[in-house]
Amino acid sequence: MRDDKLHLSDEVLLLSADQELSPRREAEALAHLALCERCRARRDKLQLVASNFSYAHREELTAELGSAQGSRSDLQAQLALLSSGSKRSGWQYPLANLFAGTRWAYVAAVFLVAALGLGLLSQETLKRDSQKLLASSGAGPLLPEPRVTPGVTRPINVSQVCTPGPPDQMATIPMAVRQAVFHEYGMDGSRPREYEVDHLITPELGGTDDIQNLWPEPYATTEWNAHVKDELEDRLRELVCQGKLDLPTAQRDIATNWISAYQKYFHTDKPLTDTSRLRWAQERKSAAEVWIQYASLAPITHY
Amino acid sequence: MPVLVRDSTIELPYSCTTDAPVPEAVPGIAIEQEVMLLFDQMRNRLVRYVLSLGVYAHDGEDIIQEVFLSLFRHLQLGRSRENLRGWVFQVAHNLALKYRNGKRRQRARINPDSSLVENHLEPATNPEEQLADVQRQRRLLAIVRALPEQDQWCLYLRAEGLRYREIARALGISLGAVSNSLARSIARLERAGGR
Repeated sequence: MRDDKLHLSDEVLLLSADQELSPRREAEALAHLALCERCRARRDKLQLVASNFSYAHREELTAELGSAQGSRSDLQAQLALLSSGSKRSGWQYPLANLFAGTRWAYVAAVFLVAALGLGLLSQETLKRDSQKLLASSGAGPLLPEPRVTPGVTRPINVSQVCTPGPPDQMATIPMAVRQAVFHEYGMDGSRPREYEVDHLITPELGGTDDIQNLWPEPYATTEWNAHVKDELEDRLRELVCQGKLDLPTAQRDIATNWISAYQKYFHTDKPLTDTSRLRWAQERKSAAEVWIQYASLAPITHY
Repeated sequence: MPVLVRDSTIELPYSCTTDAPVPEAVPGIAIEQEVMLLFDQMRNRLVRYVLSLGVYAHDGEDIIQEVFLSLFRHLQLGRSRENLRGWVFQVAHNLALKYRNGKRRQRARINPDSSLVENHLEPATNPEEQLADVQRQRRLLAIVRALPEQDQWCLYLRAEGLRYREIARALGISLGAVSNSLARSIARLERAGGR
């Protein structure tokens, strides 16, 4: 049992260790500690226990911390919206005064302000919002978020690209990585079956399984879906192997905006339908024999 | 006896990094930028704290979003910046309790597969010492979970680097109550052999 009259209390020792005492009381405590070995030992013990607990607490919970990136992007987008909202709100009153007197005029002014306010939103904010909207509606993002999925490649040459590889790279992406990708896009509650966790730069063109090269791409809920992108990947590989396109350009084009790349390399504004795909293939028949099989057409067509 | 304290350098206490008082409004910096800076500085600590209150990890992220949106509104309205970190933790604390009451969970207590065993064993120490370290950590955490809630909260907030006045603000109690609670709890841990 410690003698409280002769020694500092645990509370004072801890306050001193945590530098929470006032300067005067700290000086008094330090003067006592300089002379009292027992209090120094007690302070060290308390400090050690407190540090051990803090360490154990952080270690246990740090393992549960997810990436801050998705949360950060969400917050940034919401703050941008709130900021633009607050800028708009200052306009409401002068405009309302212009139409002073009638309730309808005020309503009209508010609508006008809202329309003007929308115009003030930057392209980037609108893009982010539409991505979020798509994600929240279950449709998933049409395009990957460049900051989250910039695309990652491994060193590869053309002969490696043109050597057939394993047919189903998607199956090799571990579930934990797939979940991490959904998390990065704020789509934790989404149904994985509706999406392909797709490589932005396909492995056939040198893309890696790095999370920065993966994003959740919807299969069927949008016009520009995972199946359409698969066609682009095949087309780019074909062009590279025919020597009509260099590999870095193919990688860059698909990573920058795969929809634009599709439009560029298929010469179309919209994804090709089965029929148009067939016509397109017919037009290219001089290049080589083309074998195409479509479920909706004749089983095999030889041109 | 092996000492558990290691310089894990997860994060330094606030007092070492961004000592109080918390920033005055910086002319030329938009409030949203300021909020994002505080998010970067405080997010991990806040998430850990709300998890320690028994909130699910997924809800934890939602709570943090709400906290920083509230902070944005708070600053936008020109309200007090005094003890802002304490204010932020107070909002997080209140929201976490609200969530927790809705979806109370028993957070997985440390199990044999937990990170303490798998990720943090030091190759330099022998297996017996490693095992003893892990058991000591488990015992410490178990003792803390048996303390009254307010004592637990004080310990968790201190572990996240908050100063006593910030803890007092977060929990809505006096400085004396914080000091008393911490001294009592740490002495109890010491008596229980938490070294």
